Amino acid sequence: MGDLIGIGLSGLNAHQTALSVTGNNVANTNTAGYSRQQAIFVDNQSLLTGAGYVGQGASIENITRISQDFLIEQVRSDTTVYHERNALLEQASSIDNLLASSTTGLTSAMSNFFQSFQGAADDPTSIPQRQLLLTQSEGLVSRFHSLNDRLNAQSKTIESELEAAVASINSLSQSLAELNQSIAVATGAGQGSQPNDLLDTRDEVLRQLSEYVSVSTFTQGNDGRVNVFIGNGQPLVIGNTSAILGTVPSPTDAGRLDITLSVTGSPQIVSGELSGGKIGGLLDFRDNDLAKAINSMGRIAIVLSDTINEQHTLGMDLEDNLGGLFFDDINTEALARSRVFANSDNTPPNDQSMRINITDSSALSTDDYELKFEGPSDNDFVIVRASDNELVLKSTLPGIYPANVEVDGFQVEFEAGTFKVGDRFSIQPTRTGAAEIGLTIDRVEAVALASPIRADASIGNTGNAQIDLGTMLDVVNPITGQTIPMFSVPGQLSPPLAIRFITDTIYEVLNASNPANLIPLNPPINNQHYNQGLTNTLFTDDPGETLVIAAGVDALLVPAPVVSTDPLLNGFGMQNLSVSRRDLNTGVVTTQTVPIAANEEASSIAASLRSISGIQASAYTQVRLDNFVDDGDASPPDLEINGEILTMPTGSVFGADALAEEINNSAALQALNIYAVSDGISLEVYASTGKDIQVVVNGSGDSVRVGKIDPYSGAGTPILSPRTVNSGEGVAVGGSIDVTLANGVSFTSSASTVFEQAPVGQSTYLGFQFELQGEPKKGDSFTIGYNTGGVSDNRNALAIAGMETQGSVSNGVVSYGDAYSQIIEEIGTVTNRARLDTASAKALLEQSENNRESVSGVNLDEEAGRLIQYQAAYNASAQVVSIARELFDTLLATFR
Amino acid sequence: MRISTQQLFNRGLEKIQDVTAQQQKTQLQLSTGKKVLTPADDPVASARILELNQELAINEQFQSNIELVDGRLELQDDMLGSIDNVVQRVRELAVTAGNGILNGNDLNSIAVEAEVLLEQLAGLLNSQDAGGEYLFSGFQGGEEPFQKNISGAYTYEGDEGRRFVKIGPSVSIASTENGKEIFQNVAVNENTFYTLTNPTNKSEPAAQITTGQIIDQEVYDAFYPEDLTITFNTATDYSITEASTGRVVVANEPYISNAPISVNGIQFEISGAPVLGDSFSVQSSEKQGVLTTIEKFVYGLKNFNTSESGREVFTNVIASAITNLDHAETSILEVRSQIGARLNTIETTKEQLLDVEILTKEILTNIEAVDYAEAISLLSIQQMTLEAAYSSYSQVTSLSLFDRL
Repeated sequence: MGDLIGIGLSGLNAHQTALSVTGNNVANTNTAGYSRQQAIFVDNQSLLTGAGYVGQGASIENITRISQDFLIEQVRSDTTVYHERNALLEQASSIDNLLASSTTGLTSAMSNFFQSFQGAADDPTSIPQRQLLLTQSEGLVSRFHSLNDRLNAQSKTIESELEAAVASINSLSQSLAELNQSIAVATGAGQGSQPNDLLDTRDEVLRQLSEYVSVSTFTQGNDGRVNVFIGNGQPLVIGNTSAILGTVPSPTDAGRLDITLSVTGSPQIVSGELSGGKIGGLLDFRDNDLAKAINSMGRIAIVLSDTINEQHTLGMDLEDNLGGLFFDDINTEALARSRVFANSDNTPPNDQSMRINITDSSALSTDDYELKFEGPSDNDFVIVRASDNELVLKSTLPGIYPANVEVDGFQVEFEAGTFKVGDRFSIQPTRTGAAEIGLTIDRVEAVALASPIRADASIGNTGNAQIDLGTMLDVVNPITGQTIPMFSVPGQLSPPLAIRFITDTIYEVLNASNPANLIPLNPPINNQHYNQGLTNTLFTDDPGETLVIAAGVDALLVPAPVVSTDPLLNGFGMQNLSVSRRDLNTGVVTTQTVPIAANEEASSIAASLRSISGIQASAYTQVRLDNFVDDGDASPPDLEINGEILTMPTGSVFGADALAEEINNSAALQALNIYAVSDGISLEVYASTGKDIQVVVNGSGDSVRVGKIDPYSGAGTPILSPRTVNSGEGVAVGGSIDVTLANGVSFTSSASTVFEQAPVGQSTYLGFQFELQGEPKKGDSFTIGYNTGGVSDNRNALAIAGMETQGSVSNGVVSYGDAYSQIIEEIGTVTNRARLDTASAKALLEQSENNRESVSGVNLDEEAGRLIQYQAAYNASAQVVSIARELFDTLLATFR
Repeated sequence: MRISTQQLFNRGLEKIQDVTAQQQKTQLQLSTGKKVLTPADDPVASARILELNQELAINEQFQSNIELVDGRLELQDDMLGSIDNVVQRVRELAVTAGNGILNGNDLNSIAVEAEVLLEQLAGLLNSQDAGGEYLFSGFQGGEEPFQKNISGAYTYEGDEGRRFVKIGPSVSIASTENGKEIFQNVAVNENTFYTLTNPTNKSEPAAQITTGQIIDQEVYDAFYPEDLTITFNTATDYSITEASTGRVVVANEPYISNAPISVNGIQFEISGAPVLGDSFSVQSSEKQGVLTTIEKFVYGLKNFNTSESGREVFTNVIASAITNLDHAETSILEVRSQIGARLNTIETTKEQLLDVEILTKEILTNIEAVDYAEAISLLSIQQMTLEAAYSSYSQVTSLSLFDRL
């Protein structure tokens, strides 16, 4: 009977506990992280009686929480993913619309800027139009600034969120360490019973931690403690100790924060090792998408400044001055230095001085770069792209300063300092572009809408050839960096030029400083062939082109006359030319030998030079004949030019006029491109192909003086080495050769005969181009001069306005507007992807939370059922006790 | 599957929030009329929208350029009309002067009228636009194109500049004309010349050269098209050379200020105090400015003499004047017809621009604008879903076994 009471009491106790557990479940229905608990009933050990084993009632063996580690981990990892995507989405959304909006974006400001140039082109003298242009330019600059400010503010927001996240993680990790300790104590004290509430709390803290960063756990020993790792295995909690996270300015980028982890001793930077969660999302957005957006904006600002400046400096302002800078110089010393900085971990003394100069803005990428000295020697370095660590350049410092290397549109200029293996430098060519764009121009008169050059046809021209108004190419030679001599004096061309047609198809370009006395240019543009029916460009487009004239000793001589039956030789000595050509892309130099035979005609030398690519050669012979002596004897004066016997018509005087007529009327000489001009006293004979001009005097007692005309000096200079050719004698005069060498081509000679041994090429690049077409006539002339007073000219304004739709960015294939659209498209795509990712991560998280909830969550209906169930059992157990008492009473009554 | 009570509440609420968010987006689309609210809604479309808006802005700029060019060309056309009227009036005077029955006094009064017309014409050629820019001076819009030189003859001081304005993606049109093209490059019936002072001359005040005249056309025609250079060897003597060959035509001639210099059939005068190195040039030409033509006509009228040879010269003068004025009129008419053609181009370009504008806007609408029918029906579906969610939520959550205890 006592047994029965005991059994009943055990049932009462057990179910009371079970009811408490159920009540606890009901009470914790809304507790985050709570796992429903379950009382585990066991029957008490039976007693062996005569009747066999008699049960001894029930008791609660354990109270367990219903949870599955797998599901908890699943929730954790899905939480990490969701919060990573969500952080990215929040950040991306906030700049998404900023860039595209017509009130905050760049598009409208850019379009207004170019439209104001169109407006100014329509009416270049209008001051209000110019004022509007300046106002719109200011608007564009401030739009760049405000957008850049917003992007940078975004970056600052992210940093403060990172700091907040780090603080949260620190408090969570401390809780975890404490919980570990409590769990270890409780587990020991519980002797097999688990501290359910502590475990639940720890799981919940871990889940909260996973909102910030990816988490992995590892169970340590049997005392219930877990070690917690974040990111790629960074230890956060080991047993009862927790590490501390912190933030420091990045050693590679002072503008950014890096996250550090310190277990013991000094903090280590772990930014690169952290992934997932809010921190992962924020770092990802900041270092990739936002950095790229800032760089892309910077690149547009730099390209715009550079290209508009370049065109603007080719123009002429309202006061006849060449255009200055429109936007601020992109390569000021301060800017160039700000684009590179040393890693704070570099080896002292940190005395390096470097600059990053933008050399070709169109080739710029939106990447950042890292310059690393990786050895083996101190001077060996590489430049890698920061985004993907792709090697872009590997080189060695020459040891002398300044040294420079060029990659992707910028130049790294090493000015001074000691570089050691292990040193690193961050290069950010475009980061500050949008912040640093500024307007240099501040006066409406200084806006260069005109072009500084113009051409005029002489009103006396009889042909119908037309010259265009000219195109400006450069004011500063892009190869030498020097101002082109043409523009060395403000407000004029130095010198103004005249184009004069010597025949219908041969012209020369002359120095017209004194229009009444045109003199050859230096370097000369003589004996140019004009192609009728084509558009003739007058000057070179190659900034590196040079011209070498045949200035060797023999080229300036008229050889001594010889007996006319002997071969007539021009007296040019033999020489070998060694032509070297440097490939502009590879820098590889190739050489080639051009032999010049003794007495070779200039036309033939020019032809063999022309056969080499990169070389143009023009040969022409100019001879002056004077001191005509006719002894008056029976034999008439009789002169032979290149085998053509010129017989004086009866009655005419042996002299320049009559000979000129004979020469110009000779079909044979015309075929040789030989013609003559007489001024009544002397006769100038020209061979426009550079053939030798041979002069033979036949008439007895007659003579003529033959001299060579120096084609490089002005009129009035003495002729070179004049020789008197007497009867029965002849002489051959060789021609002049002007050799035009393309950029990278030069030559030396084995002897100073025709060419000098080491001729120095003179730059032929004038910085502008003119085109001539139509049919000119002999004597026609054109002048090219400075566009003084050209206030109504709008050519430069048109050129700038036209740049709106031209490709300027990304190797000249993308316009400014399209480059901006690309940023919008990229950010839009990132946001869009983040939206989808967030939605799917959320769905996954919901699902895993559901899974966990279905196992561990409290269902009130279920608990109600349990309450009824346990209550019934409790009631029944009470009945058992009651019956036991009744039995006892019955028994007692029996003995009463 | 087992459902916990938290799940029951949370899931219901979450779904209601989702539908509310969707409904709000649809509502925003309807109230803005735009399908793409932020670039993230459709990154490709939003980049395209930017491009199309840029195209529209450029198109608008072209249209405003057209308005401006149109006004400018109309103004030039009007001016050329007035100029043509004056030239015609001078031609009428020349015809009147040539009818042979007029005496010296009549001719003088014609000369007076012609001089007035000359000044009037010069005034017209120097017209300015509303902004004060000279219409016919090429690039040098701040400078009077036709100015009287020291010797009192009109010369062209402008250049050959011609301003172009972009009125379409690939159409540029000249919005200005230079005076050289219209009024200077006018063909003449006989070879003529003009005189120039070398701008690098050192004399102070500058020595001057007159416009000169042809005294023997046959001799000059034989010399034509060579040019002459007059160079002062000292302050007191000069040489004249053929410009292209250097042939000396006149050597070391003593200089007398204002004395006629005759060479190769032409005559001109140099005055002032030239110094060593000063030079002047005589350029042959087959063109003559309309103002010079009238000047020569006036000169002929004023120097009429009744001798036989004088009458012959006068007849020639009248004949030249009439022919050259005809040429001038032709030149003006040519330019006017070019301007007319340009106005036509402008008209067609304008129509094209309007077509493009409509088309671009249509494309923009297709990409950007919301489909109202679709959006409204979507909104009502979302409304219905939300209502169903509300009522089912309250029904489901109100059930509890505890109520039955």
